[in-house]
Amino acid sequence: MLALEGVGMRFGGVQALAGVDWRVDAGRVHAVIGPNGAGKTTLFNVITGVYRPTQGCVLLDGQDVSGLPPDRLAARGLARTFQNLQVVGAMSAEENVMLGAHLCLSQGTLASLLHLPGLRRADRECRAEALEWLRFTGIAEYAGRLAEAMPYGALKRLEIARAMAARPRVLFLDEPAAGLNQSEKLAMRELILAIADKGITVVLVEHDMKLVMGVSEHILVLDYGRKLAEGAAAEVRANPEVIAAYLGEAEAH
Amino acid sequence: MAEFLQFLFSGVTSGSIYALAALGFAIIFNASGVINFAQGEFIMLGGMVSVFLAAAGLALPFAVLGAVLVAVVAGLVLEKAAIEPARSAETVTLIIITIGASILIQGVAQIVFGKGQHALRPFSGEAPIVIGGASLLPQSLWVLGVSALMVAGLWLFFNRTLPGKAMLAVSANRLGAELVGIDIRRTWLTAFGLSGALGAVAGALAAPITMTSYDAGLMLGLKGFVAATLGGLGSGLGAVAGGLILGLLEAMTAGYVSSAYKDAVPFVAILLVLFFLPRGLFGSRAAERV
Amino acid sequence: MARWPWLTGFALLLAALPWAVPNAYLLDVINRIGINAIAVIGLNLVMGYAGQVSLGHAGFFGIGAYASAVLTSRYGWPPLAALAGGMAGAGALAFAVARPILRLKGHYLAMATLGLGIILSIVITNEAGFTGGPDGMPVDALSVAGFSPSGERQWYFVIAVCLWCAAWLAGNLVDSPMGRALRALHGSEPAARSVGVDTARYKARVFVIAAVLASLSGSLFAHYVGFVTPQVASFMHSIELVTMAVVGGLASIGGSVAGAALLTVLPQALAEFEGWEMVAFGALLILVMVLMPRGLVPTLARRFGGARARA
Ligand SMILES: Nc1ncnc2c1ncn2[C@@H]1O[C@H](COP(=O)(O)OP(=O)(O)OP(=O)(O)O)[C@@H](O)[C@H]1O
Ligand SMILES: [Mg+2]
Repeated sequence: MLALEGVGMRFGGVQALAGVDWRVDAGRVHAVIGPNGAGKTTLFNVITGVYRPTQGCVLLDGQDVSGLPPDRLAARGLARTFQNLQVVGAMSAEENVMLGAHLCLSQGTLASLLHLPGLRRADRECRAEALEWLRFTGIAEYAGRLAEAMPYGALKRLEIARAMAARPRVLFLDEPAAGLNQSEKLAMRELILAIADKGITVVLVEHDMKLVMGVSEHILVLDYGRKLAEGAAAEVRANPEVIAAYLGEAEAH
Repeated sequence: MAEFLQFLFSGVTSGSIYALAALGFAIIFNASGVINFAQGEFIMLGGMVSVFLAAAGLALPFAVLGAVLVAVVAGLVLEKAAIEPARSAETVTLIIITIGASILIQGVAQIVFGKGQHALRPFSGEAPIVIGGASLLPQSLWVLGVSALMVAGLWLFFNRTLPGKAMLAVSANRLGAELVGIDIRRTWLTAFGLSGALGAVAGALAAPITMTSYDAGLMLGLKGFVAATLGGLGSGLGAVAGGLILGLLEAMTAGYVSSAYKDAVPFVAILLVLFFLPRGLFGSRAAERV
Repeated sequence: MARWPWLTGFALLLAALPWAVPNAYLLDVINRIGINAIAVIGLNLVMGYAGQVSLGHAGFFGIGAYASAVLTSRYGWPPLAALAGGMAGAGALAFAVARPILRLKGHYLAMATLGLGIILSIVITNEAGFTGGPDGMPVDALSVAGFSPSGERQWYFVIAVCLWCAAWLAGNLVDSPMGRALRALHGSEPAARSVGVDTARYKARVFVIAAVLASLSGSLFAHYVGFVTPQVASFMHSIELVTMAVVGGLASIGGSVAGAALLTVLPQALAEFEGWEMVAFGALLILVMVLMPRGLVPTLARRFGGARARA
């Protein structure tokens, strides 16, 4: 469904990604791992349109989409969360999730100014749906709370709820378990599996190896912007280069 | 040719004034991230206080010195009383604060000096020097010379002295600078004082050429802001280049196109530049991080 | 929805006000407040909700004012057509410049909007053949289908209806999916874009709406006062509008009205004291911004209501 061909990204003197080839097939949990600064977030940014790759291209359903802006890619079924939380602090949790449904109910300026009945109905339905996503992600209790007043763990879930409200085909999660405690991590694992059960393809960046190995069928390993290895979880875990570059280091911690 | 030379002289002269104004913006912006809309008032104070001290019988050098002192004090008070208490405020809030200060200073100037227009006596005579058929006022030479000295002095300050280097460190990385023990507040205060001095010198230099009044700071300040933005906010060399470019553009437009639209030139220029280069001519092209 | 009590209360207040205000001088001040408030509500949509600084809004006000002045007197347009023409012109200009300008951020955006406003005011000053130049020009009376408001009281109702409609439309907008998208791109542009908000398009839309409201406000001002000068489009007037929005409270429609009221009354009250009015005005700006950076209405609402001011 999604394919990267020789994707490279350069920031001034930093080559954050160098010639990455990769395929994401529908209906599985994929993981991207690698040490800090390996280029994982940059990979997400390139795929979701935040940056235009300086080399290579991103294909979605066989079409070159590199350089399309994020909103156009969202319309084509890509949704994401952010490593550094990007929630709208001055809006309630519910409104943040309703924002996710933006594409399903965006309306003309005139309808918005006059609050035409169609718009009001759509908005009501959207609100109900938002509540459902809050429930699905287990943070319904915060529905009316301003996001700036929510605890960190709940915000991580709020970003997922917002992305789900956009009804994506592929969901990119950038370190969903970072900063969570052990029981929250377990719950996050359940949530990721529940999302995959809905038939949504999940792509996950995560440092917690137990979580990664527990949920993902396919793993891409990046190191200094290059693809170090790729394959099924068991294969990657056994790859000596990966152990040297990454797992060994992680276990030494 | 003589005509062109004439426009060139006047362009470089006003360009130097804009450059000094732009440097004032750049210094404060670098140290604190604040765009100081009261920068123009420092220039106005430089001109007006010089005029009135000279009229009160003070010798010209002392009158100018007095004006610089007044502007420095204004800068320090502005920083202490209005900027520091709002340090963590949003951009818009800080903009409004400095605009408030600008209006306040104008009001005080109007009360003290009245509404009239004033000219300062030229520093050394009025007999124009004729070069290639174009005439150059001695005051223009003063403007060019002193501006060049100021720029050189600033270069030394930023590269050779501890407070100057501290200021650069703060602008590069505030947290880092704070961690190595640089006193941020003092740095901010220095920046406002320095900008006040720069503005006042520019104002005193320009006063014999352009006349001055309590509201003369507004346009000069805005053009200084344009020049600073043109060069890429925060870049010292960019500010000087931006100032000179603006002065020349203005003079050439006034000479060859229309003098009525001379004042519009900087703003048209900056809009065109920003349309194509959203961070000015010499600004960084960094990608925003997410 | 939650804003209807506010809008009803506001309507009642507007309806009751002329009976509570005995003399024509006060009513005149109130009328000026109302006219300013219309422009400020629009500006607040751009600055408070969408988070985009605009330091050139008086330019659009000037377009409205001069459209009403020039099109009626020099081209014989009916006042209502001239007013609509001004709104269309201001909207079209806003639309044309919105994308390149609103792509800018922070101080660069401030610079560009400031430049746009100043260019407009310089054009108005210089094109004396149409606009009367720096001395300004008289404006014909407003007349709509034979009715021509005269006197402060009749004008009051015209202005009150326009103001209420502006508040109603702005309230609707803020409470719609589009309003949510605007607040979102203020709070986090990456988040808004990641769920499909075409941020450039939404910024442009709200900029156009604000320009149209400013133009309406300018037209009303021109007809009401009967005379316009380039001052209406000046940088200082832009600053006054921004100040009203910020002092009253960003992202607060009630704040826009309160800000317009405070900053319209203050200069009038201080007008006799040459120079001191500027000192007081400047000092007030600094004080409010240092002590209540959120602006009057949201700060007071928070203190006394505990709730967030949304109206
Ligand atoms: N906008 C940017 N401008 C300049 N350099 C950048 C930018 N974004 C990322 N980089 C650089 O690119 C490299 C890769 O960064 P990236 O954020 O993709 O790493 P990562 O794998 O996500 O790391 P982490 O595990 O710490 O999140 C780093 O060296 C980083 O400093
Ligand atoms: Mg990362």
